[in-house]
Amino acid sequence: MEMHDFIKLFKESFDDLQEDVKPSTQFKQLDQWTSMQALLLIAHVDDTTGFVFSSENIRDAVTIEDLYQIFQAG
Amino acid sequence: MAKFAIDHVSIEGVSACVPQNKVFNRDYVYQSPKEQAQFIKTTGIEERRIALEGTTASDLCLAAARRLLAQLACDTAEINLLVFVSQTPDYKIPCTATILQDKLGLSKRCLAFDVNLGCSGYVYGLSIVASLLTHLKGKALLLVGDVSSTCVNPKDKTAAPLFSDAGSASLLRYQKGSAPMYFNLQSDGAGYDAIITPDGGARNPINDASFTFDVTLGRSRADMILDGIKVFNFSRREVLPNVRELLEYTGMEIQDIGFFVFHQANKLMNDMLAKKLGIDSEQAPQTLAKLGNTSSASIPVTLVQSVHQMQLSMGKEIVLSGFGVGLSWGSVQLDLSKTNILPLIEI
Repeated sequence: MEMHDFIKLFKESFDDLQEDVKPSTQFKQLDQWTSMQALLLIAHVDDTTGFVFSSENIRDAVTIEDLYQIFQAG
Repeated sequence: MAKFAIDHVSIEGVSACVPQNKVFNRDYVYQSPKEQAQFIKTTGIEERRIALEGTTASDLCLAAARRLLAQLACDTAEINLLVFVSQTPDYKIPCTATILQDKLGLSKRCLAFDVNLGCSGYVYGLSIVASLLTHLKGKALLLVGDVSSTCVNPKDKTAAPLFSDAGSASLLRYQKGSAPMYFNLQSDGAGYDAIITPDGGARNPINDASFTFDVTLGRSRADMILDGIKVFNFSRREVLPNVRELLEYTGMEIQDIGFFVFHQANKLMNDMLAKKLGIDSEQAPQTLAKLGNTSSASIPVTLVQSVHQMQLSMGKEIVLSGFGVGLSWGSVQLDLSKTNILPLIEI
């Protein structure tokens, strides 16, 4: 999956994400990021691709690029 | 995998009890209004029942048991076994079941002991009580409940607004010819730290650092820690295969089952379970909105709130499935068509 597709996937997990998302975006700083959003993201990525982010993955990742690298390695 | 059947035991009745005290997640001050809105939408939990100081899980179970025994006109001399399933006992020592045996006026010939399990506790409790009844005969009380609100720090915004308090009582009876109960029980201690109170047991006794408050997390090591992602991923991975394997074992199809009562974890989780099973919401009732996540009591609480669904199921068997702390999970397929399900009571 290309980075732009991954960003699309990330954005789809939100109800209505207004903010711009780039590879360098620190996703936990997004206004709409919460612990519940983490579950929504995990469920959406799993349902769409079969990949499951772990608790440690989410804890350790800072940017969208970090998440993407974990996803690609999975 | 622990799949087995228990014959000749029926559930005579089920009752459940919650505290009268209501709290509302829209008033939870440690979340921003945005967080509140998303939390309520995702978990489905609007209101919770919180026990007032001095009310324990055993008090809630006791009230449920007294109502049940009175309603069924049960002679307490017939009760040979009492099992109390909880992670919030009255004391560390002694066990709470013996105290309940005395308060209920049960015979000294009655076995009484505690089982330390949470969200899987009702299903496990049924398996323990039904197994022992095949030897003991007579009747048994299964009391399952928790005051989880006492375990979490009120400032822990990821855990505190989830939990609600409740107790339940189920009366089981040895009766030749009763429909079998079919179980599929599992555990995975590799995930023991997904839900844990780190300090206060023999591994990490309470010490000065136990109460050091972590401002970011909103809790200390003496409070219960819930790793929501770990629990969420575990539940998504394990619950449905467990249910499907149980149905394979019993030779049933999803459409043969009247309805499913899952542990009430959160709306996101429970909606997903229903969707992936291909059933509608009527067949997988939820009580999260008004009663929250009542831990070990969530299945009996949901049962007493689902009498309507039970009538619609027209005598079909039902499946109960609990999953959580341990990690521990399990499902049971059983016939509740002759069981007295009493309305929810409040104290």
